[in-house]
Amino acid sequence: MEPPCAPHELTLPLILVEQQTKWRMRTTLPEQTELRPSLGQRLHRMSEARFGLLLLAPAALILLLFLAFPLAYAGAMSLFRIELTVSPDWRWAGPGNYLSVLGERAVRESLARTLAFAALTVGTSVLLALGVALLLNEPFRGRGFARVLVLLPWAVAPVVAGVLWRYLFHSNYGLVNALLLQAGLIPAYRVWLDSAPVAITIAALATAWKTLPFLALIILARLQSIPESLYRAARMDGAGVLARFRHVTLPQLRGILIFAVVMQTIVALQSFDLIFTLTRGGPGQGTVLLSYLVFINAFERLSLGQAAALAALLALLIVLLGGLAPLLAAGHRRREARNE
Amino acid sequence: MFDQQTPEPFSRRRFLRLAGVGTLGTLVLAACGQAPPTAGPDGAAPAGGSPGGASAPASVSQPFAGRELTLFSAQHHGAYVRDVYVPLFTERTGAKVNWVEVGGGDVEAKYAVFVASQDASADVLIAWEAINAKYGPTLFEDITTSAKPELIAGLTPASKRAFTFLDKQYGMPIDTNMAIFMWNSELYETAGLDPASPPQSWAEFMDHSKKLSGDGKYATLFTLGDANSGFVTFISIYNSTGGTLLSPDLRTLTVDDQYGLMAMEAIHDMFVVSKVADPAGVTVASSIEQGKIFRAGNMGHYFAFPNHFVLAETPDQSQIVGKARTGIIPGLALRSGSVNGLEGYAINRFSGNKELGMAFLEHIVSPDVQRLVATGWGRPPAVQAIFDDAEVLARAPQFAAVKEQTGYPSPRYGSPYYTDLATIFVEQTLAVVDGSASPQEALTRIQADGQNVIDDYWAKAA
Amino acid sequence: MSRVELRALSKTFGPVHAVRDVSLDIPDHSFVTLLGPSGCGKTTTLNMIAGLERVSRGEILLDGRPITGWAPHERGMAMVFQNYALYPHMNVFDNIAFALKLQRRPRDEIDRRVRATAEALELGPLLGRRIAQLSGGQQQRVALARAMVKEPRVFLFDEPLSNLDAGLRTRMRVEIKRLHQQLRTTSIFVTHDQEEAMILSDFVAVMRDGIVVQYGPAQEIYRRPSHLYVATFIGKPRMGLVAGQLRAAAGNVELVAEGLHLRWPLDGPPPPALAAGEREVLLGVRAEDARLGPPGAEREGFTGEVELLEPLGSDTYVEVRRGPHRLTARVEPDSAPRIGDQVSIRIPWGRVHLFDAASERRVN
Repeated sequence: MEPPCAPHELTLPLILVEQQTKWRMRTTLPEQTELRPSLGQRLHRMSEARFGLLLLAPAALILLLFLAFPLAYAGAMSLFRIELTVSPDWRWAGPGNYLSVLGERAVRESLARTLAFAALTVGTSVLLALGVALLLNEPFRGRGFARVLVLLPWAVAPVVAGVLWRYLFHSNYGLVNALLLQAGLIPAYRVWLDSAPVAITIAALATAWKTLPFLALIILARLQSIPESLYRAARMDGAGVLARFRHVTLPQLRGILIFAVVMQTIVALQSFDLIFTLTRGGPGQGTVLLSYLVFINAFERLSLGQAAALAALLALLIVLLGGLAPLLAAGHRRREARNE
Repeated sequence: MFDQQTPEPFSRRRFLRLAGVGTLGTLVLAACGQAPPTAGPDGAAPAGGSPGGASAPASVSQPFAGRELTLFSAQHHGAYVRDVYVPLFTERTGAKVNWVEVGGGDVEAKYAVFVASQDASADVLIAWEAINAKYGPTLFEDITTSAKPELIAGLTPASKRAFTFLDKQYGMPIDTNMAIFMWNSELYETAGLDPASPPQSWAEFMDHSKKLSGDGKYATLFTLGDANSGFVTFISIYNSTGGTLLSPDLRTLTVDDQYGLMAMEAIHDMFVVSKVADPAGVTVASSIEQGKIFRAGNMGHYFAFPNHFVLAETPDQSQIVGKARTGIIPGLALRSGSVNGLEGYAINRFSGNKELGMAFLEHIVSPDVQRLVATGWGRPPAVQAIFDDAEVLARAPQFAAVKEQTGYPSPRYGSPYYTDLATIFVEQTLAVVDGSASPQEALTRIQADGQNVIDDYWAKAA
Repeated sequence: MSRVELRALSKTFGPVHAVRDVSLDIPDHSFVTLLGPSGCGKTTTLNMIAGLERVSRGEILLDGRPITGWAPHERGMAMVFQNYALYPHMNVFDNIAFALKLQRRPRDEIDRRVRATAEALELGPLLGRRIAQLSGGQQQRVALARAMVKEPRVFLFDEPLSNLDAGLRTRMRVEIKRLHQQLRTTSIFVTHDQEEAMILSDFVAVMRDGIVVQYGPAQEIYRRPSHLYVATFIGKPRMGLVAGQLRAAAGNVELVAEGLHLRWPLDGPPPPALAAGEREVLLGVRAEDARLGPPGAEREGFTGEVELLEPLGSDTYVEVRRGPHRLTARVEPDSAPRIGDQVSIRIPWGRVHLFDAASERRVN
């Protein structure tokens, strides 16, 4: 008699209204009695699906308010020409902002830079995190303390990390200069952040350093869930340290490593605050990544439409690259399966 | 503008002492709560002293009692504007002031939001030349006619010019900050130079610089750390060539000429040929760091903002107390040239409280506040009369140089497309510094790319 | 094929002695079980034999050659683990072939051996399957195959059946027994299940607290437990015990306990246990040795009330209580008494197990 309740997406308030009206229909049979069911009764009689949606409603509303709305707003902005140095008006531009952004030399250069930075960051951080996790998984004196210690960079705010690394590589007061000079590796203090490749590398290292604890932690958690007996079995089968790593550890870590790569790719592509404080995009435009370019467009050039368009393209890039790693991994698995 | 450092906390008490009110005055002030603070050099009699010195007693009337003013400023104005000039304003007008501040580098981003949302939450906004040009038309109130004409007439020409954009006055300057020349007399002596005489020309400057360089030390440092600081470096040298970078209507860039080449070749010479400029300048984006290196005794001379002199004379900030000297910047074709870094305040055009905002603007150019700007903060005052005051000059010897410096060009060429243009300048200047472009190649590109940016802007504005 | 000797083997983890002076001689072709509750050191001992755990003290010999410090794969042993420890990312074939691949055997040899082993364990059709697609029993057979394919000199089993349900466990037990009879490979099997130990083993080593309490043929462990601990650990239902004073008097042996006075006529001289006169003992009797009868005269039997019946189908166990004492007797289901009945249990002197009350060692 009652139509099945279709799982609506985000039309929760509607569902609730609908729910109430249906209730009234059902309860109007003995019309003379105004027996209204209590809230508890109503909740109790609600179907599983509807009750679930009801529970989801607050979170969905918050997401709607703080995620969906700004996203849609930014999307709308990207279709208008908004030049705050001229006027606060929105003028329709259609795909104009996208076309002009894609045609800009600064954007193309920044894209190449961003990809290089991401590759460097992801490679460094995932490999280092793997190393740290393997180390922390070995029993040694003070391991508990080391596990806490390794979390420190994670606790440091990105801006602070930027300043920290800036001073590490400072041309006059930098620790790196002091150490290298004392070790006799450089003849005199040198300026590190004056070349774009070096600055990009340092920025990537700093970003990797910053996110390493998180990655190391999730890898460590996975490592600890690998049954010890697998290693025993492998030792019985004659597997040495490397073979055990290759045939037991690595296959078990596959999923988490893919996750780490995806996460880190996203982090790298979004990098802004650390670089803002580390190099301010310098030398020249040498470390202006796409996210930084969004900032420049929005808050320095005051071209909000262009900034929104660029941000949308960056988001697209993140989704593409973030989705690429699992796809590649799946392809690899299929190839493996065929070879057998 | 980019001097966000304070030599020492400027407390209310120190202000009172400085203002010469003395112990008794302090007691009186404490008793009535609104005694007129009188300005003047230490120990000078408040009345009948310096011209424009003492102000009328504020206790007579508080025209804005019960009203509130929200002031949006930057952190580096905290110790003076927030802690001294604002309380004084409150005493005079009775208006309560809400102070909102961000880091100096974040001001622009915040203004973008103000414009976009037509925000009226702040009535008065911090401003400087580049910001005036960028936000004047969309965010700042045009006060060309509403401000008292005598106040505008009383400003130093440089400070008036910086707050004017396309013939409209968008705010009131608080100082006449501009770069001067500063040298370390001890290092001069060590290098066999006369510690009392600065270079009189660019050739002499280079000659001195070569003698001051060597052993891993560099005679000077120019900032190229970001678009703005790099542009400041270029323009501070360019301004002494006699060239004009932008046409008055801000539509035509003329950099690829003899003047531009002269400036770019000077930079090339300093960084690449003679190697007298610290290569670390490529990573330095603020004059604060520049000043620190100078005050550590590691740099012979540089283009400095005047309050760096105050810092150099402050023992816990400086290792060269008593050794800093000031003069005017040696020029390329002209005797000198500089770049301004002056700051001030403007009224938010969306504000519903413009009358009180105007009162604050008038307050900051009032003689006693201007005197405090000069003697306490160490910034050259914006008001010509204070600038010329002999007592002020005696307290701030570096202003002699500033005064002389104001006789030479110091435009910053603020414009709505300032950031884009500055980005192109610094990118090509860096190419010259790292040897990947000749000065002429760099100029050709700046001219082409820069004119594109300008044309784009006017096309958008049309 | 191979004889394994353990000589005073010990393992300490810091201050903890996990294994103390274990000496065992495991003959060629034999099936030996290390039996004991968890924490008794049996798995540690097995790991030391395998080379997975370093030996703190003592020696391991394989066919007379000391192999104490050898790496696991050098010992020619194969191990089957409790949770199978199959490589989850490999299919069945690769799991079985892994050791051979690491030995860099020729491809066709690997293929042949893996298939032969899989055939023997009826895994042929499953070779391409992923581990996650197998049932528990299938996984166990893959684990067996992985051990067998190496053609080891010694099989080591670390509680391989404890993760299986009861029915499967019984079947796998039979399978392992059959395999051993076919292959005749020396096998060392760790379990806490005494039934498993009895069924599978030629010899059983009963362990407790890192020490081997008794080592001998399985039947002997059951028939002549050398220690109270072994007596009570082995056998179902648990051996009935009566604590009391044993003495010889007037051609009789008497056990005097609280509210109880049992007497057996002696044919010859008093048993050696009573050489020193009377002593405090624990007298044990297994259910199948206890004879149930009608209530009889005092001093001739253990008369009491039926407290519990455990009908198993083929047999019924009758638990009889008298005062603080309880004994169990096995009867035909048809002749089982009812709860509350007064019955007596006769204990044949020849079937009693006597343990010294203080040392808990067997004294008869």
